[in-house]
Amino acid sequence: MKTFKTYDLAEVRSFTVGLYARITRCDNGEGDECANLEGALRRYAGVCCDFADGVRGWARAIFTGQIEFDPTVEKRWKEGGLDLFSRATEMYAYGATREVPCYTLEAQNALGSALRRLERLLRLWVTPKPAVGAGVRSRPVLSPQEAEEARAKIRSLPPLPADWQPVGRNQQRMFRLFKRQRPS
Amino acid sequence: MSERLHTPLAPFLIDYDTPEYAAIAGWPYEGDDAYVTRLLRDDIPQRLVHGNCRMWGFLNPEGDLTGFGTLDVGDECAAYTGGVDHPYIPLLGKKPNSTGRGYCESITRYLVDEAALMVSHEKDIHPELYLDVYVTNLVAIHIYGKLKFEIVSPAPIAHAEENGRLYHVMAKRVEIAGS
Repeated sequence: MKTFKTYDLAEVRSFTVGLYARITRCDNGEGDECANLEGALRRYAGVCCDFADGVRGWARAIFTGQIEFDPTVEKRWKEGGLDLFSRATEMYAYGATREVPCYTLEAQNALGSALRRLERLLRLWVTPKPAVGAGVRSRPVLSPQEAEEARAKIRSLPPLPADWQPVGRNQQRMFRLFKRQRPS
Repeated sequence: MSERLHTPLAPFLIDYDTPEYAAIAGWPYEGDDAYVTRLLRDDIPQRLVHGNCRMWGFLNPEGDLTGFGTLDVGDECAAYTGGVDHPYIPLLGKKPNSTGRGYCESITRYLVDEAALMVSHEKDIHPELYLDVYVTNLVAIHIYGKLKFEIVSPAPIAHAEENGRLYHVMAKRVEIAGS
């Protein structure tokens, strides 16, 4: 995943162009990863996730006051997201035609999940702005001594008891599931 | 001493585009609580859509929407976690003018349990749950204290975006002993 420096228009444009190039190379059958349908679906899923992660990083940088909002950058993200969603949906639909009863493509599920995430992001799109909540933009700065005192206090906080159980029924169900999944 | 029973509230997940979110955002928070309206308008939508935040509505035994809570994962308190992401409560609250029935304590307990589940399942998250509380919000500080949150900020911090209003950072360890 690319590390952004400024999230300016040039950087975001370069990022989205790079993502489209990855799926275009896949469509052209280039590279080993896209040698078969599973690989192509996986590539599309990865690109959708990388796009959503890129938007998340940009929005977070504005929310925390690290960068300023630029409407041209937002427009680039939104247009790029719609285009990517359209292409990835076509690939997903094609994958669905290749599944037969009792045989599913694993990467089809991954692409489906990535598409749901991308669809939600585009449908609920919120224009980022600086946070108003405490401790987000103006982070408290601790002196080394204050930091050490705070961490000592935090280390002394008691854990939950060994027989802890959540209160909610659904939470209890999830807790039992997590305990079963934990390696012995 | 007998344990006080929490008011039985029924939680359900809320997303930004639901009527329940609109209802909560329209609750009349005034005076010292007006910041709740600002967070619901400006911050929580961003946390829900662009971040890791989840939001729950809570129904009282009569089936009325009576409160809400949010839980995120981020680095707001990285100064205390050595830079590691941690669970964080951006905001919780009950419907104004509904009083004295333990709603906020129940909501907070639910969020603590969610954070504990998260920490038990995902190993890259710091095992303390953090929140901010204004020093004048004695009711909230009392509730959090009952649930074993402790103040970890060395001194009250000025919230620049709220005219320098002072707040504490509180934390509670949510990993299970022996895990």
